[in-house]
Amino acid sequence: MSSSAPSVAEPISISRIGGRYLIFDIDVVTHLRRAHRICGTPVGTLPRAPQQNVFSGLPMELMPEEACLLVETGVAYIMDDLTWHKENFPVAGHRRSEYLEEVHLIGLRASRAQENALQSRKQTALAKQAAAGARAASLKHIDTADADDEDTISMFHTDRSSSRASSTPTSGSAWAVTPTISYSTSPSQHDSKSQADVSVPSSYPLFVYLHMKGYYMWPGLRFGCDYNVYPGDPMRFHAHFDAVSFDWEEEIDMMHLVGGGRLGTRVKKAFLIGGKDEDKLEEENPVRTFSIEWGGM
Amino acid sequence: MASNEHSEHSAVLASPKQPHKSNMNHRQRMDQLYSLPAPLRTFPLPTFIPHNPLSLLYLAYVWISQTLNAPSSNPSPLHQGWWSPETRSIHITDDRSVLALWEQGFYGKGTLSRSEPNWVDREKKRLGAEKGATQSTAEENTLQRRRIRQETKWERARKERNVIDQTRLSEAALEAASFSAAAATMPENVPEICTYSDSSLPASDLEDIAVLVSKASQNPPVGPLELLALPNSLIDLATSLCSGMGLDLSVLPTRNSKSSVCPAPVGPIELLSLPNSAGELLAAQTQMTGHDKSFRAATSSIGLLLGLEVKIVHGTLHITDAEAKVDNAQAKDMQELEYEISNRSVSTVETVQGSSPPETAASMYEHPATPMIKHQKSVRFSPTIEKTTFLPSEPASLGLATSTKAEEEPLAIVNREHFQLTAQESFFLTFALGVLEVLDLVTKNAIPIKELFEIFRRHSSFPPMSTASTSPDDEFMTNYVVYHHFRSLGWCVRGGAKFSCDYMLYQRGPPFTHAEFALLIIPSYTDAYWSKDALLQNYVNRKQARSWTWFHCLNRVITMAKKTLVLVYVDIPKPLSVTEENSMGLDKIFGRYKVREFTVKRWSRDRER
Repeated sequence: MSSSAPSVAEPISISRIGGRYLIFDIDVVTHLRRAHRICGTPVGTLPRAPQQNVFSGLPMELMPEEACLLVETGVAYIMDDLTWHKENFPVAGHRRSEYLEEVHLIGLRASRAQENALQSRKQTALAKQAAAGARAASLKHIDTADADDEDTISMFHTDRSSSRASSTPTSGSAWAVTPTISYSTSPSQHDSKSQADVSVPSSYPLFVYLHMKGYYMWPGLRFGCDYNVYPGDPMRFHAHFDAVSFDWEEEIDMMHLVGGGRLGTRVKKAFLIGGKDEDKLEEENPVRTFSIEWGGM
Repeated sequence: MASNEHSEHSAVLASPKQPHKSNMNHRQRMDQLYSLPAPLRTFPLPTFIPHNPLSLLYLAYVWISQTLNAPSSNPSPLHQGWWSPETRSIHITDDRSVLALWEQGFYGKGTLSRSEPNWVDREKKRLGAEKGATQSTAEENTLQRRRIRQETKWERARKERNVIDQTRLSEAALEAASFSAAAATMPENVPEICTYSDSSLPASDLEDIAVLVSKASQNPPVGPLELLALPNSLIDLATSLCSGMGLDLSVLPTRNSKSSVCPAPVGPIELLSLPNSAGELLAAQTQMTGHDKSFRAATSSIGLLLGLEVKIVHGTLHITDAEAKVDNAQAKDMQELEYEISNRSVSTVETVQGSSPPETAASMYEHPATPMIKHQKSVRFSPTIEKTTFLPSEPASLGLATSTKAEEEPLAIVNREHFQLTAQESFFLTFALGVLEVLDLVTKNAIPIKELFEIFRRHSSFPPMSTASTSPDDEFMTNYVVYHHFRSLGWCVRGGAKFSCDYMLYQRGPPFTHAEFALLIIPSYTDAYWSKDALLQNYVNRKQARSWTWFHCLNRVITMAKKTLVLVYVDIPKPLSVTEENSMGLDKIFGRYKVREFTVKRWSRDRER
């Protein structure tokens, strides 16, 4: 499996656009999932099925916790897309003309390819038609030879050729290309100085702790918790825990425990609460977790 | 609704004019029992029949007598409850009050029951005191439902298991057939295939062997008994198997080595690193503790177990083959071990065949549960010690059944249960209906309403405040306002702690329907006073802060129980001073609050298109 996975050079760049952390490269997404247990959430519409909202595709949005963890472990760095774009995107001068030339070339190449494909298709079709015509002609020679028939054929033929002639010059020109990204995703072009600090919610220590324990996490809003905690890849396992983080000195409402426990047990998970002990920061694991299940349900 | 008799106590009992109890169906009986929606009497005038002039006379008589000598709609004497500051509730011990408050409006709950105080009934039934009692309590119904549901689940599991076994058998038969066909076509060329065709069940990889091991040693858990009979650890498995074979296991590993066999799985990594089969475990153990003597003993005992298993499936070679594919180094270890295994397996199989009737070892493995049942734990409770040693074949409780049968006289069961009212309920009964008086435990006197109000407000926070509370948003105030609001609209309001909301609304009462709505109380600080300065704004923000995850959790809990979530906003007025409040009177104080309701429903555009 590992041999088939495409090699992704670390550190990976995570684009920050409008306060969201996005990844646009499918190789990076699979790499993060396989090597770093970071799942993310697909947020893009699938081009093949644009009218639904259940299944989504690229880009992959990362939770701030995930992005922060990746940055802290040196796997990735945050790149502010807007500033990068403003600084590096050629808006004027000869770099701009170079860039436009490049875009034009891409369009030209695409249109050529299309043209070639059409040509070859036409060739094969014509060859087929010629073969069939020859057979028909030989049959016709045996029966009769009708002049009117030939006339109509030639008329249609000329008609077709003229229409083709009018379409050829447009197809010969380059296509208009709309670039989807303003820079390539390979990290070599950028220095990792463009790192920015990620603002994480207070549940971040719990996230780090559970991630360190080898769990996979998904955002848990669906189940009314901070994280859904999976023992393996979420595609293969059901979640084991609904994790909710509390501050160490925070008062926990009993009703919340009742509701969380009830919900967790109902969906065959355990309700997990955890928090970071501020007094034991120097210890290896300042986070403690407890799981709650509802009895008699 | 109305009972024609003027006697105070008639409402509880069946009036003679109504049909006899045995002729009524369940619904009619319920309607009669819970005919009054509030613990109050009403005295409607008799109907006027136009073609019967006597009815007019009767009507006039009743009207005149009621205006001259107005009957009290409150029960006489009033129901009495004791204020208990420790539990922050009102205790009621009088049977008349308990019955009346439960049946007429469903107030309060029994301390030893789910809601209706029926501990005595259950206890009587449990002790067999009431032979003829057929009506079962709500708790018993629930238990029965749960039992049936459990049985259905086990039945389903058993059926699924059967299907799996069937497919597996047919697949094995198919595979065997294809192998024998292949062997027939090329007889001498491939010797490995010949060994396959020897065995009836060709095991191609370790997983299959593992399945066979587990299948041979344990029935799949399709019932609670099988689940209990499952071994708790691999060592247990080895012990039970070996004891089932009639072997002496003096070489069983000690507790120390047991813990090091495989650590308890507390994370997914540990879970994944657990051995998948006995073979892997064996390999791991030899790698880990090659020299230790006690571990040698452990390995050999499990190796012995594995050797036996291997003998059954005739797949000794294939274990090592499969290992070699996975890991060469491990396979070397396995090969070293395999010598030991095969040597030992021969000897053990011999001993088995010597000691047991001429069955194969495999057939013995099919039923390991039969000897194991004897070793199940049973706890015996007995007031006297009849004997100190017990045979495993004896029933769990021997003396108990006979001793209860011996004393046939009816048991006098003391009612240990009392009835509890929350502060809001009792204040509604006292202040709004006037049917309850709350007594002080120390002075044994009734607490006046104004003082009761103050006590409840002080005790609404924990620990209770020492001075009188004047904050208009304490829990008692908001909750009482909501309670009073919905009670006066005719809903039966009960606590909603088990669904993690504040109150539940029943259409008529718990015996009739499930709760339809769940109320969540949110204080709303709309008054201009609360946005006066930053300090107050901070306070308000803290009081109103709710997290989305929490709200989602709550909403999911409530919709899964098929209820509708209602957000009840209580507009909090600006606080008053003590003197102002004292001069106002309770109705004026409560009149300052406003209640707004919103139902909440999660709407998902994909699901509800």
